[in-house]
Amino acid sequence: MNRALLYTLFFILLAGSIKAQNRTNPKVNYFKISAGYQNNYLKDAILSPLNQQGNGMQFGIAYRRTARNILGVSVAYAAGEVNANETYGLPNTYMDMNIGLEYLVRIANQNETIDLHIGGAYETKAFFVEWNDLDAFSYTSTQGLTIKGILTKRFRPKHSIQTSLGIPVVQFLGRPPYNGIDEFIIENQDSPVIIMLQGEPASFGQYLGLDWDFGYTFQMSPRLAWNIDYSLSLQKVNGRHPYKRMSMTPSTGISFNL
Amino acid sequence: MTKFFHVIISKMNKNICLIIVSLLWFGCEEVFLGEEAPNSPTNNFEVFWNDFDQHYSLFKVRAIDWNQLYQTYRPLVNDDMIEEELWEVMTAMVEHLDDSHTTIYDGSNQYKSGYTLNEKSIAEFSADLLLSKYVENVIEVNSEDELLYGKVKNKNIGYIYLGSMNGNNPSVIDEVIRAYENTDAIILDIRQNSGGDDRYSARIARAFSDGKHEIYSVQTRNGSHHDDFDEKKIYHTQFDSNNAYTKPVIVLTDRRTISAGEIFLLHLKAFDHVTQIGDTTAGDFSTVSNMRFLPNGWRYVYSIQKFLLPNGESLDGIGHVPDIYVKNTGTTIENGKDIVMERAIDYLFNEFEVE
Repeated sequence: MNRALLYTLFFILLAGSIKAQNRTNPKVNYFKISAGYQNNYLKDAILSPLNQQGNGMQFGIAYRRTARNILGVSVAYAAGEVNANETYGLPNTYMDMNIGLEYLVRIANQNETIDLHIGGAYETKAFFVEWNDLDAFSYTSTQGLTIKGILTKRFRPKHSIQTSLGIPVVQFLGRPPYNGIDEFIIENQDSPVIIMLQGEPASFGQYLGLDWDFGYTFQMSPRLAWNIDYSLSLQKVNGRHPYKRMSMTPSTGISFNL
Repeated sequence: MTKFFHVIISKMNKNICLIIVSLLWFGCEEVFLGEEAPNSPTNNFEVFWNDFDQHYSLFKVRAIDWNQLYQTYRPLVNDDMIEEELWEVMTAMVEHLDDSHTTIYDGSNQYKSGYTLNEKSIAEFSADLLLSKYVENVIEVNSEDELLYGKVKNKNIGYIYLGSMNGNNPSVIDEVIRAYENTDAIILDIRQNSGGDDRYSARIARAFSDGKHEIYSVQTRNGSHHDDFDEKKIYHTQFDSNNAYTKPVIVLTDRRTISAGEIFLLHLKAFDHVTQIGDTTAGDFSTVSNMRFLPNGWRYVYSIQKFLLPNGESLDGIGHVPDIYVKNTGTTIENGKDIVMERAIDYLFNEFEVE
């Protein structure tokens, strides 16, 4: 995908006029649980020359402390199946795990209705796909820093929308070795975490990623809010065994104000 | 900075935003992933040949000119041929590898390269005959895939059958060995052993170890050239002096003893008290690749490693040549004789006066 288009999208989503002010927001701490339906599109040369697509359920929990700045931690897990047209009877199963710790600073605020936060996140992502009980498998794991921006707009006291964009900048990338398996994997096959967290620093030339999220929140009561979210995640690994993955996840959840 | 954003955004048409979001939601995946590999006979052949060219590990060891095979078989492929014809061409090409770790599946059929002798040996072994005529007090170890043990009838010889190198608890072999403390010898039968986990092989072999020996090295292909390999990883036999059977051990093999079964033999043959009797093993040592896929949905695997002895030689394509060569035939089995087992018993009597 044209990266320029995606960056443009980010700026488009910074809709409305934004003027920096120095007012402070009230502190809000919330805990959120969510469930979504993850749609995956995958091309992984280690796994197959065939494009794969499929879906599965995603579950997430998150804690976020919002005052002037935002501090958050989140965990999301998804599992399901992906399939290729020619092997439709033999689906691959996948697991997708994301763990993130974020800290963003408010850089703009307008009339207490629009906030713009910019900051960073440390994220660990692991995507594992296997066919027929490890007869074929592949994985992509990343750990590292992501530049992140969050734009929040409150319409009325109970309604708000929020969009965020994250772009990984410094990443440790884990991919299978040249031939999919080597002695390290064979010796550590009972410890997949050790295998998947092996990685090497990846430059922009090797790894590109993008996470975009758009959500609506309805404050049902002072303690409880209902969320609807849509997230888009793109990953692209260049090299001899290229990897591309796009996942789109509509989800809903409940936030508990603490 | 925010003013800059404001100016930019205010000039954007909101409809453009909607179009972009719609593009992200619908149909964008095709643009992002790119086109699928075409499913045509010629492209399937090209993908298949190239994948081997880029990843198969034993061209040099098995003296295969893969480019020459391309010149021979590529002209036989065209986009008008039916799948059965393509199957014939591709299986004929990989037969040259003589490597039964190379297997092709079309969904209902399976083809293994160089598997003729392995397949023939199935009729040269009968577990029923063995257990009814030669072995008594048989105990099957349920935690393991194919491990059972007993005693040779009317002899002070233990008998262990190991048909696979897979199981949940290989250390159970220590209990088996303890049960045989008072025997004079053990016949360890790995005929028809289908392989499995090399670590399992190493752990079972430890029960018969007389010390730590360097036995082999492994390298995995890691580049586009046929001789691109990662660093050697050297393996040694394991040793536990408190749990080791060092009286005479006869290991029985046949043509279908393969892969991790042959790794097991690499361990055993380092020990002075072990003698191999039977047929030469399959000669396929490498770990098998992940399952590979073709655009037409066919699947295949191949060897991705090379195993070398400490002297630099490879047994791939050769196998473990037995110390005493003897093999059953379908006829000897039908006539109720396992001459490999009988030769092992005779050998123990003649060499060690075990009876």
